[in-house]
Amino acid sequence: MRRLDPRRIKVTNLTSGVADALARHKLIVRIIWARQLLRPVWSDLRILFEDGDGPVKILIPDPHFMAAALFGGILPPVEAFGGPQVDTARPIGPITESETVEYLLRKDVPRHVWDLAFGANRLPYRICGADALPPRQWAAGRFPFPIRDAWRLAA
Amino acid sequence: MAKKRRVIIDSSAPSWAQRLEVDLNATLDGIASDLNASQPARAWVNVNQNSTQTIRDSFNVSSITDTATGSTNVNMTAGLANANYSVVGGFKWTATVPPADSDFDQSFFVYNNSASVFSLHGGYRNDVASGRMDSDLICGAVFGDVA
Repeated sequence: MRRLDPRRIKVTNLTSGVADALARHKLIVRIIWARQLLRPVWSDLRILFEDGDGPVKILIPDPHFMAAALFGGILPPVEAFGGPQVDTARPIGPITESETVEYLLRKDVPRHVWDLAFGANRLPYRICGADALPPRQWAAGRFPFPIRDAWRLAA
Repeated sequence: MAKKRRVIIDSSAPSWAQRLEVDLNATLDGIASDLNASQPARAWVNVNQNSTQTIRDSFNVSSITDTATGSTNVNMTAGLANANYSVVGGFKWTATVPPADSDFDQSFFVYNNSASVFSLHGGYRNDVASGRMDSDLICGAVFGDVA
């Protein structure tokens, strides 16, 4: 089936009836519909964050989620997650790629990482492109040696 | 000199988007009436952990978190009713690290962290050594009750 490109067609370009019809259904129904309809969008943006003593963690956006965010009318406001409003809140309109990454920062990264009210004395996360990440393996010797677990955020 | 292409647009034919609007309510109602027919699993993901980790394909996933070598947390968009769901998965052996798959057994485990997060871990082990390794094909699927 030919899929729509969410970078070209957004829910606001369609009649208002589309957004209303989507808003009447639960989030899981909207997600299934969007996955059938929209072409996935792979993003190069990554969120790097530190949480505890482990190595730096990297959040990678999902291509179908990115398509749903760019199209609009699918995702609820980020504040609705974790409560019953996730299915009842009116979906938000189309947002940009960088706004989607900020949405994911608040949805999928622990609050004490991104909320400065928790008193971190330095910013424990960064948003960067995938090409800015170092290699996961050190290719010295006969076999490559994994160095991923030594990654830290630069001060 | 490049030749100009003439594009003819049939404005009377309904666009894909217009046809979509006509069928929208019936499609949404059909999905809502039988979720299992549309997607038997509540969420699933196919990940390449090498280089910068990437998602090949997925359903009901908002993002993945690369937490360490061989370890991936999967964040679901629509969480499940509770954390008592089932997770299944598998991964493909990567030959470069560790050096020889004949010397080691695969070690793979998946588990549910919360109602909206589950974890995938791939690794190797034998009698004297064990560790995690990145795989170019690691998958997981979730079965349980929708919230």
